[in-house]
Amino acid sequence: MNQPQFDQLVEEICAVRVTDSETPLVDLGVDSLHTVALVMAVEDRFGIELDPDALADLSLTSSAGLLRVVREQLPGRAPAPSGSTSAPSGE
Amino acid sequence: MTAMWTDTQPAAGMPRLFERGEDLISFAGGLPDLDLLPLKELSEQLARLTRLGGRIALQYSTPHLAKALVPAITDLMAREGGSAGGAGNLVPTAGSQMGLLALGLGLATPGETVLCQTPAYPGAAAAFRTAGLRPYGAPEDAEGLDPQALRATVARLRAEGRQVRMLYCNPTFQNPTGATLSVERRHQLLDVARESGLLIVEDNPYGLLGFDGRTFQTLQGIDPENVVYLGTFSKVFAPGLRCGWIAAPEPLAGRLRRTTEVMALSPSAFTQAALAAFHARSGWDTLLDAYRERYRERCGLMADALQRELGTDGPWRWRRPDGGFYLWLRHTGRAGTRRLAVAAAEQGVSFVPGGHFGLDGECADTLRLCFSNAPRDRIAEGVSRLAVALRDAETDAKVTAETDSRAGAGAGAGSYLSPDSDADSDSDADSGPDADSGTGADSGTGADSGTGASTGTGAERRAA
Ligand SMILES: Cc1ncc(COP(=O)(O)O)c(C=O)c1O
Repeated sequence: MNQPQFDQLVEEICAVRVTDSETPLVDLGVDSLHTVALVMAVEDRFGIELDPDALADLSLTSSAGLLRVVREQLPGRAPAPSGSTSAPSGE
Repeated sequence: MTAMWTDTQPAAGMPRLFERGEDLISFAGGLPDLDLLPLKELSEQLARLTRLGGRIALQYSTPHLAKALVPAITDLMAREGGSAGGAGNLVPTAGSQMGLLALGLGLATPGETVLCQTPAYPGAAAAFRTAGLRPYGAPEDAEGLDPQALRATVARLRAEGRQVRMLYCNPTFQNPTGATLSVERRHQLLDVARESGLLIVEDNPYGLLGFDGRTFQTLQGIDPENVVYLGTFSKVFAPGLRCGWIAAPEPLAGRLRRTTEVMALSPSAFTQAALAAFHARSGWDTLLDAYRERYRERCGLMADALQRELGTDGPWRWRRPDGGFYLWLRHTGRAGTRRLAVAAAEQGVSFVPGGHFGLDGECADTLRLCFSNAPRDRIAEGVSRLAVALRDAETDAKVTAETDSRAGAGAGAGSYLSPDSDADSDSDADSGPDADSGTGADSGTGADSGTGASTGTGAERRAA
C-alpha cells in the first residue's frame, strides 16, 4: 500500500481530508479516540500487531508516520513483534 | 416503604414462585437474546481497543458524542429514514433510560404536563415523574395516537392553566403493545405538534427489529427540527454496554449535554469506541438480520401457542406484532391481571401485568408477554402454563375485585410507577378517569401497590 492509498484509508475511517500526509492527524480534525479507531482498523486491515509504544503519542501521529510504523511491522521488513500472528492482507 | 419501579420485589405471599426455581419460564423481562452476539470477535476487538487505546478510551471524556461513533449512528438512523445530523446534534447517553431523565430534567420545568402515548414504557413515566413532570395520557383511537383529538386535549389542558410542551411516544413496535403508528398518522401527528407548539419525543429502541426487515419512517426523519430522538444500542447490540444517544436540534442538544454532564459527568469513551470499532469492522447488517430472524421465530412460536391454547374467539385478544419483543393480551371480560400473575407464577410462568404500563394503573385487564429471550423449546410449555392460569380468570379475578382491594390499600396505589412511594397527588389527579386519556375504560382500575404483580418479573433481572 502506497502513501496515497493509505491516506485514502485514513480519510475513509476518520471522515477527514488528508491534505498533507505529514500533518498530524489532530490538526486534520481527528480526535484521539478516532485515532485509536484508525489504528485498530489498520491492524485489522494489515493483519499486524502494532507496538503501542511506537505510537506513544497518538495525537501527534500523521498519516505518513503511521504508515512508517505499519511498514516496520510488516514481515520481511523488520523482526515481527512477539505477538504478531496472522499474515498481512495489505499491499 | 414502597419501591421504585425498577426494583424486583420479594415474592410477598407467593413463595411458590421461587420454589419453582430454575423451572420458571419467564415471559416478563424485555431482554435481548445475546446468544447472537459474536463474542469471540468482540473479545478480540475489546482486547485490541484496550491494548492500543486504553489510556484514551478509559479516561474521562466530555459530554459529546465520540466522532468515531457518528458513522455507526448515522447508519442506524438512516435505515429508518432518519438523519443523525452532525456531532452537534448528538448527545451520548448510557442508554435511553438516561436519555428520558435527561430530557425531563433538561428540557422541561417541574410541574409541567408531559403527554404520553399509553400504555407507556414504565421507565418513561417514572423518569418524567422523577423530573417533577406530570405524565398525562395522550388521546388514542383504534389506530393509535389520535392527532385530531390531541389538538383538543392540548387546548383543554392549557385552558385549565397547565403547561404542556412535550409529547412522548414509542411509535414503532411499541413497548408494551408491539403496535406501530402508520406513516400517515406520523405526518398528521407532526403537523398537529407544530400547530400546538408541542415538542415530540420519539423513543425508538425496536424500530430496526421488524421481523421481515420492514422499517417505518421515523418522526425524527420527517421533522428533525421538532423531534428529540432517543436511540439506543441496547436492542440492536447489547444493553450491558449502556450506550445510547439523543439526536436533537442543536440548541436542545446543548441543553441536554449540560444536563447529562451533571447526571454522569462523562459518557463512556470505551463503550463508544467499542461500538464504533464493531461497526467499522462488521457493519450492522449481520447482527440485525440475526436478531430479526430470532425474534420472528420466537414470536411465531408464542403466537401459535397462544392461538392453540386460548383460541381466537375467547375472552383474550391479541395481535401478532410485526417486530419488537412483545405480545400484548387484553381480556374482554376485564379480568385483572395482577392476580393472574400470581396464579401464573404458581404454574411456573411469568409476565408483566398491564397495570404497570398505565400511567396510573390503567390497563389492569391487560398483560405483556416478552418472547425475545424465551428459550425456543420452552415457549409452548410456558404458554400452556399461562393458559391454565388465564382460564381461571373467567371466574374469580375481575378487575372490580382488584379495584376493591386497591381501595382497601389506601392511597399508595400507583406507587410502582412513581419515583416517590407516597404516590404524589399530582399524578393521581392527572390520569384518573379521563375521557381522552386514551386508555378508555381502563381508567380508575387498581394500580399495583407493589406487592403482587411485580413478581411478574420473577427471579431475574428487571424488565426493560
Ligand atoms: C420503550 C423503551 N424505552 C427505553 C428503554 C430503555 O432502554 P435503554 O436504557 O437500555 O436504552 C426501553 C427498554 O426496554 C424501552 O423499551
